[in-house]
Amino acid sequence: MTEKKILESLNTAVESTTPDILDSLMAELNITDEPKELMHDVIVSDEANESGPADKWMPVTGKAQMPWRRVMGIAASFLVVLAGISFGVTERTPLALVSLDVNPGIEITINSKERVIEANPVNDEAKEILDEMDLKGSDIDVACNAIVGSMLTHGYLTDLQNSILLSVNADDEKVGTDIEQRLSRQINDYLENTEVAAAVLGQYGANDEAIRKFADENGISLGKAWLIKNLMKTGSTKMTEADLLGLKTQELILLGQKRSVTKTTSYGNAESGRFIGEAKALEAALKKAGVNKADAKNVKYEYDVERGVLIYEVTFRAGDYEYDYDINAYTGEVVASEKEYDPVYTAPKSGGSASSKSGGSGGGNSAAYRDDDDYDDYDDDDDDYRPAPKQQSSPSYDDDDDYDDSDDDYDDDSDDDSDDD
Amino acid sequence: MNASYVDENLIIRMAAGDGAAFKELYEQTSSAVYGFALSILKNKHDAEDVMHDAFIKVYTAAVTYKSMGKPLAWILTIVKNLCYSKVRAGGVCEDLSEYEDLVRTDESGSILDKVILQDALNTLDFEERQIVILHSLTGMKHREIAEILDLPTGTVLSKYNRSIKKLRRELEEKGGAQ
Repeated sequence: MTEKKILESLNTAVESTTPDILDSLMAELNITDEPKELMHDVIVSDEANESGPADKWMPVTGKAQMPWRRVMGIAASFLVVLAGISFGVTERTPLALVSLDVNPGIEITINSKERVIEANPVNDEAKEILDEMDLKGSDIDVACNAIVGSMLTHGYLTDLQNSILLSVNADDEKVGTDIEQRLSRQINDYLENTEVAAAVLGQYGANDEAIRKFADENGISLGKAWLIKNLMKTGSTKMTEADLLGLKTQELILLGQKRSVTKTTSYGNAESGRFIGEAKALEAALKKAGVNKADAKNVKYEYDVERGVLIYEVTFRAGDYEYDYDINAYTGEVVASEKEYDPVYTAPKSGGSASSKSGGSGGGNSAAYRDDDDYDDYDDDDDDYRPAPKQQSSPSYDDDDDYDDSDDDYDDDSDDDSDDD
Repeated sequence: MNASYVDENLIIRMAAGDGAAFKELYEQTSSAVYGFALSILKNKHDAEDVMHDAFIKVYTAAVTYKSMGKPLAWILTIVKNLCYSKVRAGGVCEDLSEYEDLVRTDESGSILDKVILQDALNTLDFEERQIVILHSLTGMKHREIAEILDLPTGTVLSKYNRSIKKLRRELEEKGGAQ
């Protein structure tokens, strides 16, 4: 009789005599074999019946604006659901750190199943947000939604303060970027259905000891620390780290959007009504320079920080002179100015677009310059985005490599004759 | 004979209270759990007791499971510890008639299979039984079995080979076995 036959016989014999105690175990543990869909079902039945297929990132109802009260209701239902279910987290190996900053800053560590291992407040405002929910074990998508919902209900997200920074820090760039893009999109979808014209800046960063230390020393989230470090690499000669540390989260996000920080995803416009807007900034600069709007050519705007204050740096040409004005982004005050004689002037090919840009005026922000080439790079990647399907790891098991490798080494004594049939 | 691969995801889902995951895990591992307990305790009823306690423990301790890619080893270590505490507590009666019953009372499966199981339980020593049963039920490699049993891999290998020879010889002597 072969070794393999013996093993198979043993296997069959044990399998056929194994008692079936599954039902009594499940009764004792008080569980059923209904697949547990976490909290999606609750949400769907609660609010989403009329809005089509269930999506855990509710509500997503196209362009329709949701009544404010309904949004509150949804946010509240998340809180209730979260409060009602206590999840366990088995796998405690961190996959990534997700941080959310509005003004409240929250850091969430997730495991490879993208479930929350822990969620920590970075400041006091965040404590207020987190106090109400136990996020441990919940899906990161659900957790983000709950947090954003709570920030809305607590008034941290408004038309004036409309920006969310979402950062994902992970060793694996592909993994981190995928999560970042998915969550950014979902947060944006969620906010599009509220009355707040919100902006989302998503950003990926590696796990970096030095930046972690920088964040801890300054009492800010890892995500905010990364944004500051990245902004310092965007070629400004004016801003300092200390300047950036003094800025509001919204200002950092605005700079992040306008200065094209790498590895980011951007939705909406962080330049809320709190800022004067480019048109007014140009107006202030022209007035100071004594130049007519029609004479200003090749107008350019840059967002920067001058002595701790967010500014529009407006540059333009008029005649043989090159003008460079720094305008306080809140007050329109001219912070610094420069006029340089520069007669070697070749007309820019696309001079028309510059003037049409400034001619748009009126509203002051957003739409007037949204389609300018300079800014295209921050909203062009959402058309073809599809969240990657979650991977189910399924290592294949090779079951017989050990069954026949043995006899050679462990030869011995008496069995030469026992191998026959 | 392939319980060697158990999806770690099941344990993580169980930790979140997923009953379907528990059921799946039970179906994948119940024979290995029962067989391993039987190989240590040599008694059907005690093995069933341990099997029961082990699955309760697996479910309730799923939250403490640390991912190392070895969910089955984790489960079997729970089984081993439960068996040992049962032995220490003196609650085990090694009743040879118990597994004589295996052949007589159980209608399903072939007699030969059960004879071999009986031989394995009767003829092999404590460690040999565990090694052979674990290998036959899970397909685990000797190295993995060595880890669970706290034995050197070489010992597991030589004991395994000796066991197979013993079983062959036993079957020879019984004649009828092909």
